[in-house]
Amino acid sequence: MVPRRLCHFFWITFLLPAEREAAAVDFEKEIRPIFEARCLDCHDRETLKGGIGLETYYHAQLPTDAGEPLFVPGQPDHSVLLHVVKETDPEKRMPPKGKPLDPAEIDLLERWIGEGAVWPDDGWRPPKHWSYVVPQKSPLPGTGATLTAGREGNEIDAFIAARLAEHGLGFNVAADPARLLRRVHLDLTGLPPTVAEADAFLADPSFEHYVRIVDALLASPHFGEKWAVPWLDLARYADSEGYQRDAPRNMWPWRDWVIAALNSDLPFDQFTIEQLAGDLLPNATEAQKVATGFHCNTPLNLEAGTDPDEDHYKRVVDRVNTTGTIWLGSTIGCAQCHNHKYDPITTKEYYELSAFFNQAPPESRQQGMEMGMLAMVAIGPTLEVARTMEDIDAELKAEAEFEAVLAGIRGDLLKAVDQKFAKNPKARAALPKDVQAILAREDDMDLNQCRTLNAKLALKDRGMGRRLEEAEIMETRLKEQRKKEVRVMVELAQPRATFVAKRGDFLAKGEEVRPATPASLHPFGKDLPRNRLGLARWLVDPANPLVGRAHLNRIWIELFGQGLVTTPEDFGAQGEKPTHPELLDWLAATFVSDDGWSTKRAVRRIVLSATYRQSIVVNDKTAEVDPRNQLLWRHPGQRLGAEMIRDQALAISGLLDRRLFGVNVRPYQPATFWRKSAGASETYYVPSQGSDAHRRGVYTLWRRNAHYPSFANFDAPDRTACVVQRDVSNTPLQALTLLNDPVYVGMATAFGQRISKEGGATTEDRIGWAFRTALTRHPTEPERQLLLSAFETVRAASGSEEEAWREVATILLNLHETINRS
Amino acid sequence: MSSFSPSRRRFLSRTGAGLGSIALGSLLQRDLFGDVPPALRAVAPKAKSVIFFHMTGAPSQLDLFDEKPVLRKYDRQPAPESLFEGKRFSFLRGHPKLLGSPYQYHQHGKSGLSLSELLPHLGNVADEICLVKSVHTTEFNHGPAQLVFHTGVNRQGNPSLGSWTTYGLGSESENLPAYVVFLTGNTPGAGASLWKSGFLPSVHQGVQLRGEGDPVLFLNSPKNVTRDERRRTLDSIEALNRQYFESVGDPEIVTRIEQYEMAFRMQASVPELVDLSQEGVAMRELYGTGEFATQCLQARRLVERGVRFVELFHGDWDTHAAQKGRLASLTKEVDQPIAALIADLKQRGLLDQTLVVWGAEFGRTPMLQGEESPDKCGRDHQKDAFTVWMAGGGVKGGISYGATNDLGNEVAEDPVQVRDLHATMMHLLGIDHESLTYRYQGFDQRLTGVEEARVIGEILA
Repeated sequence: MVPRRLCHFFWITFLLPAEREAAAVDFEKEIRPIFEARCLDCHDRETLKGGIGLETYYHAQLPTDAGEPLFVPGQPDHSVLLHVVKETDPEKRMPPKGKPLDPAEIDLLERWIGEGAVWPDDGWRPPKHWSYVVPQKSPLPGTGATLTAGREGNEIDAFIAARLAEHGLGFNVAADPARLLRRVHLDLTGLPPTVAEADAFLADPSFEHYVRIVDALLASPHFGEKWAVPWLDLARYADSEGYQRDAPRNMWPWRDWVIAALNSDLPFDQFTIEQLAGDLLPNATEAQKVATGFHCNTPLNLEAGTDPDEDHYKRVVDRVNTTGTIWLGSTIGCAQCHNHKYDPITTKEYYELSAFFNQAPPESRQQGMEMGMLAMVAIGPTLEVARTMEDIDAELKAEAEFEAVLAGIRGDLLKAVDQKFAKNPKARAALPKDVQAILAREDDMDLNQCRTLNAKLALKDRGMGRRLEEAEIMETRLKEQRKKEVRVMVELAQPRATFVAKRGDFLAKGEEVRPATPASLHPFGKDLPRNRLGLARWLVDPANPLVGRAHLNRIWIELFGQGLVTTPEDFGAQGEKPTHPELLDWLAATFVSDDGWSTKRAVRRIVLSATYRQSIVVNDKTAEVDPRNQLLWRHPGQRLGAEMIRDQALAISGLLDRRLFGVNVRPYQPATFWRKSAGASETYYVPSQGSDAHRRGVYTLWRRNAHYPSFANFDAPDRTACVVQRDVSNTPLQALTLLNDPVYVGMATAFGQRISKEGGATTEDRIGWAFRTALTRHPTEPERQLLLSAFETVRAASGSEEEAWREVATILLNLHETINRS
Repeated sequence: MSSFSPSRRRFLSRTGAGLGSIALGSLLQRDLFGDVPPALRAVAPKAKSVIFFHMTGAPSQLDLFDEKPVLRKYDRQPAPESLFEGKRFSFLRGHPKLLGSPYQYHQHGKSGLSLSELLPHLGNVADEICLVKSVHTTEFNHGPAQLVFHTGVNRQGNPSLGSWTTYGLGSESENLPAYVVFLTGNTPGAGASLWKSGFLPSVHQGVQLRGEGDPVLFLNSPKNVTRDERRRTLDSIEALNRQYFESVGDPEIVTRIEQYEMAFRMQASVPELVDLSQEGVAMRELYGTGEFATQCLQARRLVERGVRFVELFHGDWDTHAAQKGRLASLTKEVDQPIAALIADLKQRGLLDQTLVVWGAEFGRTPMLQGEESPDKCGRDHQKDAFTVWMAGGGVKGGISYGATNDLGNEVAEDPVQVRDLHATMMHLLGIDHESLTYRYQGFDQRLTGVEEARVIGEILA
């Protein structure tokens, strides 16, 4: 904008006087009437077809969607405006309808542009949208709906109560202690309370006790495991590259960084800076460098024949869009191809923002051949990370598993050799020397030698080929585990030039741009470096009106299932307005100014509110007033997320392995679920052995093109792109998963055994214990009777108590209440 | 719950917390098809269902549909520079040679539609087929191009054509998923993104019907559990869920009960669907043998049962080398079953209401790749011109639309963009592609995107 204004000034001051004698064109009298008569049908400030506005000074100064200026003062020949009205092809000419402009009008336009295209500023600017104004703490609303005695509340409740009162509504009754305890355990750690924990709370269900429990849960190492999941969705974290090749990638040390950062409550501003630019911090620590894996999570196309430059461009676009979504609550991606239609972001500004991310070194290139074609390899920077004791333990475990598998293969191969030559020892003696040498090693044969032996002797064991391949995958993984590496961001030594890509086509290079942030947002500090670090600091500047709102809104979604802004990916002009604007602003302002960007304090404040502690019970009359519960007259009791459902079932059944961190694990899934795809590696799925199959979901291997099916059935995204809010569906496939997925069948069996072992002496005791283990609360009398009769029926039919308890376990794991907050 | 329009459905699914399920509730309403708002049904529907064939890897249009005598004449001659100068290819480098098709073309049916000798069975139904020879796309690598072909966008994370269709029209089957996917051979490069629902509610994602193990993942009860026992367990679950509903009153619980019932019905309806023993020997001979033939027959059974969108991926058409042998075996796998499916649909009176579409992410170059010998040579990817064909569902049969130039490297007449194909398919289903929208990221998203897309009026019956 600035250069163009200078340009005006230049023309008017120095060139125009000479021409002024020939009566300069008068914009208001001669030009505006042409626009009004012939152009504004499509180019008024509402329609803006093609990104072109001829109603206001403001729009006329903006480049068109194609990225060109509408007119260049003083240069009619270079002005699109003139070209389109002079066009002879009626298909392309403007205006598209009616007769063309007459020569006199065209002449006026030409002279007007030639004279500097003087357009007096009418002062019109797009109105400032609510989310672009820095949030302020408004005073708490006065008495709204009141809380009855014993229902301690906080500031949040004042805002909620005020809105409820506007509709003549009040808070719901308080949730009963057992349900509240289960809810808060699941919300803070993703795991249910034990029966003993429930007993303790039921003995003293006071608010003070609740506060102590909340503080203990916030301090639990499982807090980070639970709260990492929505961040991993935003960061599109996965263990494979995506696209056709979808090869494995090593990003799990970054995932562990997220869990640890959440556990230590790393303030969100620092959490941001380290992930976007930890490498650029002075004396960056290893952890700060690992944190930059955030943007290395972008998919990488390693399909043979890919143009590395094109894929680089796509990754930059993904990084800009993801950053915009998370820290600006903005749909900035729209401006990739054209000026944003609704929010004040131009295409040029989009590419200025992309210039910050364009300084990553090449991450892939064509190298070598693959079936006669140019293969692609990943070459982005990685960091070798110091290993912990846990890493070494995990490696030893993996090594033992591999050795066991290899020993099995060896034994079977040697047995097969013995059988083959049992009746013909001479033939055995006549085997080639290299084969003899391998055989002589016996129990020392390595995998490679086993493979050779199997191939050379054409042994008949038909499953051996597959076993060898599986062992090879295990061996490769083991090697990866021995060297703990993660992809990280670094800055190119020589800056790479960034250009506007016209219409989003990276080959159509437009103007060169430098790193800058959109003019309509808060200013980029003068002392900030024009690199990722400067950008990160700019994003968490307290003057950024969006960052706190977007983050708090996501926390709200995690706890209430829907945001105060129900379009969490869009706080812009096209997004929904907040249901409780003052509350959102109060929370965001408090987060930044009083709470020092502490996510845990924000979470704590919400779960301590009376709003959160309400019952989920539906009041039919209130439901008529607010069927979507936007006013929060009850706790929504929303469904648990995919990982939580499985984690909880593992905890209930007693199978859960609670170890934290480490290389991804591979719980059972059908062997045929991973199919071969062209050029893909690792087509076999080799499930983890032992308790690794029962680790929490956050550690499950996430392959983009075939992610863990039971998670997919419960709406976990494939992590190919940033997802702010998961869908919450209710489908028959979910029923089939809980009933028949062998993992859930195994959990039901284990839970059944646990009931008879730990559930007490009598059948009645056991039913009560089982119910409380699954749902925390005591069963009602009809519920107890139903379970008892289910138990008795199966015992009578099968004669097996074990089967009868498994039936009870299956029923409990499948209840609606079990997979929802209660 | 009987009359949720897509806009209402969208509204509800956006409210988070459980209400998304209502979408599925409505998705299962048998009467939904006739219950779509006027904006969507601005066009009279011709088709009720779609069977969409995707030949993963991209078949050679020059050896199957688009005969080029001039190319044959200059076989093994150096290609004119205009074919490769300044253009990007996946693999071709240097100065490539031209490769004429070694196959004969024959005219078929009353229409005289010309097809390669590799497709003799398809020739028998040539009068039903509309070749669109002038399709072009923007991508020349498999993954991104497959995404464009299915979602309109070259990156992952957007809803597929099938998801848009069920989002717009719901389902007519109470016992089967609305959108079913089959795979033969290698999984397509872009993977499950091709049948995922992207930002649409996840109930609209495709459900894969599998040849090995459970036809739908986790469909079958554990081995030792009988159907009666399963019923008994479900009755207990339902009784407890009802108790809970009575104390809590959340309608989501009722939906859960319904989903468990649907799951139980699927446990019967899916095995019934995949059990082809009722089809008779003659019918099975018509389709031929092999995994893909089975899937084609199942596709017909699916649309018969009201399933909205069936997609069949057939793998490994990426013939950079050894095209001769590979094309022969690939066409042998698909030619008879696809022709049988069309004939079968026709004979049952279903072809008029079933839109069959056959295509791939792009086509192949007239330039030879790799070694020159007839057995070893192949063709590279070509995004600028390829062939897609349609049949049934309101499409004119026995015609050819659009044309390429003499060497087949560019469109010469009536170019068709991928989004034009999408718009045309939507039109045939009675959907105005501009009014089928979903608000996401601040903007009414459409399958056909923000740029103009054209319904190919010339091919409509």
